[in-house]
Amino acid sequence: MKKRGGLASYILGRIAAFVMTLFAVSLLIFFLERLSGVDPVAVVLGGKRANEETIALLRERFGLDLPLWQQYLRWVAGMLRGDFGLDFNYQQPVWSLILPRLGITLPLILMASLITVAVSVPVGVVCAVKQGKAADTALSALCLAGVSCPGFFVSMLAIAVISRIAPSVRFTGSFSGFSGMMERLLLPAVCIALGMIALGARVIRSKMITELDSDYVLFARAGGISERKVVFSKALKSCIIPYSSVMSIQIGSLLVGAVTVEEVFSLQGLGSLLIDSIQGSNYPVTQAITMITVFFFLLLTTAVDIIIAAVDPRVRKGEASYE
Amino acid sequence: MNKKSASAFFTPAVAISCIILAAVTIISLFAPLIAPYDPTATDLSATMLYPSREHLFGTDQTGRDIFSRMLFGGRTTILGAFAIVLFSMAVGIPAGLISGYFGGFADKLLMRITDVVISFPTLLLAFIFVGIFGRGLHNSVLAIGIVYIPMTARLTRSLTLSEKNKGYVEALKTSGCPTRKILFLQILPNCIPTLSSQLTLDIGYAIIDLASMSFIGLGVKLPECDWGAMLEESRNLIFTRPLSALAPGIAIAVTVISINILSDGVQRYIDPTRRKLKRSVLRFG
Repeated sequence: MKKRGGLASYILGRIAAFVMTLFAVSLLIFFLERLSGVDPVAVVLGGKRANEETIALLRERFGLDLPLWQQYLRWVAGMLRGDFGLDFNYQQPVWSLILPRLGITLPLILMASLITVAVSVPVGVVCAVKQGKAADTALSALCLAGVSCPGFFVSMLAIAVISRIAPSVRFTGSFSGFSGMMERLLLPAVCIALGMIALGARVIRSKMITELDSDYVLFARAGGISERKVVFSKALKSCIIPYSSVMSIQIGSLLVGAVTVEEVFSLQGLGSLLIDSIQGSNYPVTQAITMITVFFFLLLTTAVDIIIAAVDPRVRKGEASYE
Repeated sequence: MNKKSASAFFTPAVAISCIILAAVTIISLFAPLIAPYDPTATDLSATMLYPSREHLFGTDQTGRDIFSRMLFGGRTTILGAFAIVLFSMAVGIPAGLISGYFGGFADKLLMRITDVVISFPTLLLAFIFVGIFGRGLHNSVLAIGIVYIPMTARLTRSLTLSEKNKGYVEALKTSGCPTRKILFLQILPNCIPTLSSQLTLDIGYAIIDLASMSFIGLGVKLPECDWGAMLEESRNLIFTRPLSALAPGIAIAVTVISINILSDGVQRYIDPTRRKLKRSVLRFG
């Protein structure tokens, strides 16, 4: 049944790797945090004085009286039930801190991703088809600038320019209703998307140029298929695989990667909660966000890898890779 | 490099990038000699000055000379980025060579470790490191360097894999050349062209990553300053003094664009598949 190179065994292998990596990451993050030497009880107390009994009570409440390996097991068992424990600052469930942040960061990522796909594919195709012409030169130069500018600089530039052209635009509106939210998130999403558009278009361009030069395209042209069909239904198909591979990494990184842009637009996203928790030694929150981010990243990249393997048998036999 | 290939490499864009990068490197090396003022000296009688002959870029809210701060900030950013890439090379290249050449357990171990490090998206792992071991330029450089090691190691490993079965390695082995010499004096030099293109690119990424860390407050700490921290400090000037506020960002962008153009040039020069493109244009008219 299961022959080497079969899709089922490839999927099983990837899922096993997914679980093992998550396990390794959980070990690494848990024990790394304990290296800092900051006493969690001091963080919980936040500078307040406390007597022995309170401290003992707090230790029990957060499970700090247990040996380290038991604390780790408790944490992992909790996560498997979807429980990240209590945070050190407010003594609230970590989920209640994270959920509102996800409500901002997830729509932001979604918008940025949609904009990216909608723009980068056409730009890449135009560049490849008009290779060496003025349109390609101009767009390629823009893409080069796009991959070189950090998101926070693009955001500040956008604010500076837009506030000059249209002084009535507000950058820090309320989140009232769906339209208010869109208004607030659109510009940050565009600023995040610009870098990804540039990168995606470059991937499509370089792959498309190779494809348009290949024998099967030559034969398709010789067979009288229209150039439009050659580009969109033949060559573009092969570009989608490396494109989705690169994009899954980019989009998967945004959960925390969007933090610099969120910072410029004063958006209270997941990234800023992470930074606060790191600066305040609030381990449960840092650990939870790390696990969620890594989970999201691995889920996206693994899913895309499996889809690619399903489409292209060479990948699962290890004969080709798109990294 | 003979005459003809040199002209193929130095397109106008690559030449301009090289000049910009040379200038940026010289300025960051000699910032203490060039800067007219102490970048940390405040002067409350001269705050928020507009650009003038005394203060080329004007002064900030506490009267510090923005031009001098740009020079010293560039020094931190550029030298920091170099240090990040050098650190990742110092660990990643030997690790990649050994794991690619010997295979077996060391290879499996390296691949699993890199798998784990790579599964932390972008700078997450660097954030956590800085959170544990403290802020400051040295720790940020180390933290980002650690994040960069896996990619350098993997690239070196895959290059080593394709080199080690070639005839010259077999010949050296049979003639009794010590493995250490084969690895570092024979295989490594053949990996350098591809590595150099990637590492040039990495310096650009390192500049952006270091600036990002400082921008969100996990990078350099006072009185150190780099372009990222300067950009963060000047955020509230964006409406009143946009040019002074954006100057560090423009400097980052120009430097990284130049690095990317140079890296593209290096890649075009060493990668034969890219050179074939010209022929294809001819073929289809």
